[in-house]
Parts: sequence; C-alpha cells; structure tokens
Amino acid sequence: MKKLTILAASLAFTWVGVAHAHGPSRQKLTETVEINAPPAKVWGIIKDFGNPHGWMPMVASTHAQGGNAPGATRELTLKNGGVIKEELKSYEEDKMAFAYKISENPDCKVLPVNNYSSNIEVEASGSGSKVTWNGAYYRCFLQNNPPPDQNEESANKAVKEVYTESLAHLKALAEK
Amino acid sequence: MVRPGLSLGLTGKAAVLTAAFFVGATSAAAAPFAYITNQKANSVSVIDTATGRVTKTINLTPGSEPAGVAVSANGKRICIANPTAKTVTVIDGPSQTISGEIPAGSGPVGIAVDAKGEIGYAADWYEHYLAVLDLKANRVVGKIPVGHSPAGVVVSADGSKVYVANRDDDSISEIDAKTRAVTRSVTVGKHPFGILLDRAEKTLYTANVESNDISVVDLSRMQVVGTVAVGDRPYALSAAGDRLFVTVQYDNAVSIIDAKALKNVGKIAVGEYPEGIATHPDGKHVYVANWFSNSVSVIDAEALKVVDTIPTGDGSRAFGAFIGPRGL
Repeated sequence: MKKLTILAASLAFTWVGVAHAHGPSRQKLTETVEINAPPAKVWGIIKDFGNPHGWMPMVASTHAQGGNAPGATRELTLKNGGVIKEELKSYEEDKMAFAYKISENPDCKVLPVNNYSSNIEVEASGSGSKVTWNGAYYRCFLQNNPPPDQNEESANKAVKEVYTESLAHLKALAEK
Repeated sequence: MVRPGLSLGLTGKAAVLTAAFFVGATSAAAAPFAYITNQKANSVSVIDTATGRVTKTINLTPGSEPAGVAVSANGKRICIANPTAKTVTVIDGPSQTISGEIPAGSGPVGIAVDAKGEIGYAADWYEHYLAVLDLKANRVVGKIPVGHSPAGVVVSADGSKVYVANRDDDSISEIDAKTRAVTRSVTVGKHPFGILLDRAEKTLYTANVESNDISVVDLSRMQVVGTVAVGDRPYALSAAGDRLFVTVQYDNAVSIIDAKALKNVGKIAVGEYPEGIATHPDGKHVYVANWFSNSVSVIDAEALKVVDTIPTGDGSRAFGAFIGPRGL
C-alpha cells in the first residue's frame, strides 16, 4: 500500500511537471546513421529533393517542382493519407547537403510540429558514410498548456520516428 | 582571437560613426564578457572576449530553458529569462554568480535591463505584459500590459523609455518607464521579434520573422520610414559602423544592411540557426549565437568575415544585449 502511494505521488508529480513544461521552447533533434557504402552512393539515393518516396518509407508519393534549385517545392503524400508541403532552402552538391523547411504548418494529426526546418548531409566516415539529419521545430500547440498529443514530447517522438525509420531504410538501400 | 580595442579602438572615422550612430554596450572598463544562454543545456556560457574562450559556465535550474539575456551597461547585473521555468535568473556581474531567481509570469522570453542594472523588463509571451523587475529586491514590482506575444525589449540609455516588439500584433509599443504605460505604438512588418535602438535613440529597427524583412521606425514621428528585405526568418539585429547585421535563421547566415542607404548588401555564412546577435563595445566585432551548432561566431564587422568560432553549450540563443563589461 505504501509503495502504491509513493508510486501515485510520483506519477502525480510527473504529470504536473509535464503540464507545466510549456513555453515557447524550440525543439532540436539530430539523428545519424553509419552506412557501409561510399558517400557518393548514399548521396545518390537522397540527392533528388523531389524523390523522398525513394527512401522515406512513410512517403507514398511526391509532387515536386523546381528540381534541386533553392525555392523548389515538394508535396509529400504520406501512406497514412496526410500531406506535407516543403521548400528547398539551400543545396550544396559538393558538400552532399541540403536544407529545407515545411512551408505550410501541417495538420497536427499528420505531424505535430510548427515552423519545421531541416538539414541533411552525407559525409565520409572510415571506409563508409555517415548521414546526419537535423530538425528544428516547435510543438504543434502554440498556446499555453498543450494537450498531450500536441506537446513537445509528441513533436519529438514524431520527428524522431520519421528520421530513424528513413535512415534505417536508407542504410538498407545503400548497403544492398 | 581578437583583442578588444576598448577606448583605444574608438578612433578613426568608423569608430566615430559607430559612436554617433548606435547604442551598444558602453563604458567598457575591462575586457567585456559575452553571456550566452544555452536553451537545451540549461546554462549560461561566459565568454571572455579578450581571449575568445568560455571562462565559466553558469548552471541554471534544470528545465529553465533560458532564452533571453540582458547585461546592464555598467556590467553590474545580468538577467536571464527562462520561459519554461517561468523565472528570471539574476547574475551578479562582478562575481559572475547567481544572485537571485525571480518568478515571472507564464513565459518570459525577451528581457532588457536599465544602464545601472537596477530595473529589468521581462516580456511575458503568454500573458502579454512587461514585468517590471526590481533587481535589488529580486521581485516583480509592476506589470505593463502591451500587445500580443511580446518578444524583444530595449531600454533607452537614460532608462526613461522602453520599447517592445508585440510579435503577434505586428507592432512596437513605446512605454514611459515612469508612468509604466504605453504612450505610442506603430505597426511594422509581420511578427517583429528582435529590436534595436540606434545610439541617438531616433531610430528603431525590427527584425520581422514572418515578412522576412526589417522595419525602420523613425521615433520622432513613430512611423515606419523604411523596409529592407533580408533572408528567410530574420530573428534579431545589431549594428556596427554604418551597417546593420541581422541573424537569419533559415539561411544560416547574417544579412548585412547598409544603414544609410537602407540596402541589403550581402550576407555572411555563420553556424546553423543563428539567433542572438550583439556588437562588441569595440564597435568592430559582432557576436552571433548559433542555436543548432552550439557555438558563437565572431564577425569582423569591417572585413565582413567570421574570424572566430567559439564552442558554447547546447542550444545557444542569447536573445538580447548579451555583451557587457564586468561590473565592479
């Protein structure tokens, strides 16, 4: 019984902590993957801004315009039916890197983030490659006291899932 | 790293222009320090600008997620705004240690301090007021209602006027510090965030996050007299010589504006997601906090290039006037 009380008390404390953990606090996330394949091969898979469906498993199809020039746009239709609109910010072929942003904040149910921007880069690592993917964003709920599915944890979990699943798939494709 | 020129550096035409043109951290009696808020590390990196090294890391309460910072012109006190902890941390300048923690509303972000380091103003993002802080007593002594989601704050050199960017109202409010009331306001570009008061206190500049430009406000008429396009998501601005320097988050760069011609004359690549920006009292160097890269870029404001990159802590924001002398 005593144990239960302590558990309940600590749960209550956790809940209060989460509920009060608000504030205009931008989130950042970095995921990396080591791939046993040359950088040029890895870059070859991700380099086309209009081809995210080629390596991001949650993307069903893409409608893209503008190639790989800054300002190019792509509209990702996800396998769950959601749509995400993105714009290419900068593209550096020699550095095997590009930066982009979500141009219209998505439905919270599709991806619970606001003002999302991102950089992805391939570099040599040992005899293989390393891919580094950065994201910066706010939670979906911009007022005080977010509901649980629109708080920072939800935003971080959703973005992390996209990154880890996509990078794992990229690794599998490149090491084939 | 660059040695600050201090008063010796303030010779020549450029320096005179600097002195005549813009408010910077003044009265540098010792090598100035930069106080960099690290949002994710819950700390403040203290950079000795004479050596370009972090000489001290001040740890804040876990979960503070510090954003705003303001060093008083005399270096006596430094205020740190912690939006997540909903507090303002007061750092004693001479000892560079925490001297107080003030509960402050629902989400203090922007913060400014008067020249003496006695009165602070913290913008409350959610409750739309400026909290007036008594920094000797470490408490809130007043609340000034302003516009929606107030962000950047500046105080005039004599402490008589306060300006705040009301981000969600696309406006700037001018406040009489004595009566603690808004006296005038002006509509600027979309979502103003960081603001800068020129030295003569005749012109105010705003970095407008949503309209990707800066607004130039003539304070005698309280009217926008110019708009200059910059890159994608400008955040804050600073000035050196007759140039403005604007951090542009999505471009990983600082845009350079000719302040006389009001023209965008180029950009300098810095770290990823640049945010806070401040001019060294020597008038020749501009410091930029790179939020994603966890570093500070030092720009030579005359050669217009990065001359040093200083590793700091995770999530360097440094939103505010973050450079000042070490107070006595």
